[in-house]
Formats: sequence, structure tokens, C-alpha cells
Amino acid sequence: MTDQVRTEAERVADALRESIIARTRPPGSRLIERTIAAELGVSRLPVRDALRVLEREGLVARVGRSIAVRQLGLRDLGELAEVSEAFDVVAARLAAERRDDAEVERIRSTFAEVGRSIGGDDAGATARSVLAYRGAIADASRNPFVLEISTLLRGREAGAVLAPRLIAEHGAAVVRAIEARDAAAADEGVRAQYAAARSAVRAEVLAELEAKVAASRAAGGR
Amino acid sequence: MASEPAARVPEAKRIQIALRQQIVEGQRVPGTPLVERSIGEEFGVSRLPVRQAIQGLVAEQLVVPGGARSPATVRGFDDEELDALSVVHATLERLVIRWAAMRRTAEQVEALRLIVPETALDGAVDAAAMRRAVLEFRAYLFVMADSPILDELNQLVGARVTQVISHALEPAVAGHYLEALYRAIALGDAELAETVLGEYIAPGKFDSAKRA
Repeated sequence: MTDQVRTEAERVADALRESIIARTRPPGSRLIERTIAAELGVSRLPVRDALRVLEREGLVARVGRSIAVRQLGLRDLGELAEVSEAFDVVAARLAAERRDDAEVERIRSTFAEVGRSIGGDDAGATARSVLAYRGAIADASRNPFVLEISTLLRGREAGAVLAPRLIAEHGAAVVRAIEARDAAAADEGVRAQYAAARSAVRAEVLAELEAKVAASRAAGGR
Repeated sequence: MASEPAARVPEAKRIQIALRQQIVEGQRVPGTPLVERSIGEEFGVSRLPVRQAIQGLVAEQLVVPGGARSPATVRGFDDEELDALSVVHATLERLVIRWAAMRRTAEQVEALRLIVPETALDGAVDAAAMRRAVLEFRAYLFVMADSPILDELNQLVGARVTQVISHALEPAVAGHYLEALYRAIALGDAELAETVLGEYIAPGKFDSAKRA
């Protein structure tokens, strides 16, 4: 494989990853080599390589003979939330203890980008900015094992647990804590993000329950 | 190198698996040279599959490649890497033990009990047997936790983590911790399991593996 082909496959993988995280390719949607190649104006070979990469990352999975965006079950989501929270806490704590000025700057600017991109209508840009922000924190942890795990989890989680909006709302406290080298506050900030995500899911389940019960009662099925 | 006979590949894999186990279980300690010729004799194979197995272990970061005239050696841990591993280890074990306690079945509890060795209070234990028990216990926790994502993370860092666990093991007390962990899991008390684990892998636990 020449360098040029590899770069092209990487570029395709990046584009697909973004669209999956941004939900422009929703869970369950099929990824067809030929179509993607035509869309991105490349040959099928780099697309095939890119899909292999995404399969390793767990973002897509084989369904019979085709490849589709992976659909996370509720149990998977629950597990991912707990695992991601645990390792995000570790990353943020370590980042607060070890970060240098350049790393703080990168965390701050990538976080600002998250806020800016949410205002716009480019879901791909939002997905990109969230990945960059979380990557900046993981890098600042300076722990190769944390970095490796957090890279895997970021791809897997793909915004399904932590919506970009939640990161934008609660992230400022995390960024401030890392800047102030306050590991305990960084820890607390990350947990608050995940607590907000859990509350949102609970509220959604309960609201749906209430609506359905009301609808069924109104239909007279007592 | 590109056109090796296909039959060589499984042989190399088999040796890689066997060597990996010996390294992570501490039978081949850090710094031990891996001499192709003698390992080949040990396994009754030629040097080629041994070389491939060693290359695989280098890729797994368990082995330091040899030079022109020196053999590859089992990798040790520098202090920085130990610290980096210990924080990941603590986080991963906490999750796996929680889920093992929450999800255990009656059969699994029984199987787990059989792994816990009887430990005399006078400190007289078979260190090798204890090391095997600790690693078997840990592996079984992942079975009980039944979590694809934890399995995946364990695959990423498990070999190095396991190597450090067996290196830092205190055989005289490890059995007592296993017994307490077993009781917490059997009771389904995830909080107790985490408390016991927290004591077992208290910060600095891996320090005993650091070079003096």
C-alpha cells in the first residue's frame, strides 16, 4: 500500500466517522462501497480500507453481507456510559495534574470550537470539534494507556452517551479545573456531564411513558 | 520474509501464546533473554517460527527486540510506565468487579469459589500456584461481567497489566484478598467488592515492582 492510498483511506475514514457521529448516517444505515466512493470522488479501494478501520473501531459492523452503522443496544449504551465516565474522569484528573500551557490552550480552543459549531448547522463540524476537544484532554493526561483506551471509547461512544450540547453546557467547569490544576474539580466536572446525560435519558423514558399511558387511557382502554 | 510457508504461521502463533503466558505469569521475568535456538529446542521447532513469535511479542510490547548479536529480552517496566499502568488497572478492575458482583449467576459463584485457594495464616504458600490463581480469578471476573466493551479494553492493555500484577504479587496475602473478593461477589455486594479491591490495589501497590 503506497502512502498516498493510505492517506486517502484515512481521509475517507475521517469523513465517514464524522458523518456517523453527527448522525447524518444514523445507526442501522447501510454503507455501500460504490455509493460512498462516488460521493467522495475516490475509488473503491480506499473506501474498503476505511470501512475496515471503522469496523475495528466498532463504529460499523457486518450485517449479513453488507456493512451498516452499528446500532448500540440499551445494555451497550448503559455500559458505555459507565466505562466512558470512569476513563474520562481519569483523563481529566491526570490532565489537571500534568498539563502544560500549550495543552491548556489546545483544550480551551477546542472547547470554544464545540460551542461555536453547535450554533451552526454543520453536524460534521460539531462532531469534529467534540472529538478534538476530548482528544486534547486525553493527550494532556500524558498516559499512553489512558490515551489508547479513551481513543477507542470516543469512537465507540460516538456521541450516543454525551450529546455535544451537554459537553458545551458542562465542559466549561472541566476546562477551568484543568487550567487551575484542580484534579478534584475536574473529576467533579466530568461526573456532572454524565449525571446530566443520565438525567436526560431518565426524563425521556418517563415522559414517553406518561405520554403513552395518557394516549392509551384517552383511547378508552382502561 | 514475505513468502513463508503457510504452515509456519500457526506454529509461530502457538509459540507466541505459550511465551506470552510464561511472561505475563512471571515465569520469564523482565530482562530474561529469549534465545531463539534454545526456545526452538524447547518447543521442538526450527528457529524461524520462534523468531516470528518473538516479533509478535515485540509488537505487543512484552519483549524488547534484540540487536545484531544480542537476543531479545523480556521487557521490564520503568517507573513512569508503572504509574501509567496502575491508574488504568485500577479503573478497569473496579468496573469489572462491580459488574461481576451485579451479574453473577449461581453457577459462576460456585466456579469462582473453586478458584480461590486455601491460604494458611502462617504465610506458607506456593507462590507459583497463587500467581496462577490470581490470574485465573481475574480472567473469570471478565467472564462474569459479561461485557464486550470491558473485554475489548482488557485486550488493549491486559497483557501488560497482567504482567505487572504477577510481578507485584504478594503471595502470602493475595489468597486472603481473593477470598474476601469472592465473598463480596457471592453476596452481590458491589460496594464491598470495590472496597476490598481498593485495598488490594491501593496507590503504590505497583511500587514493589519498581526498581530500587
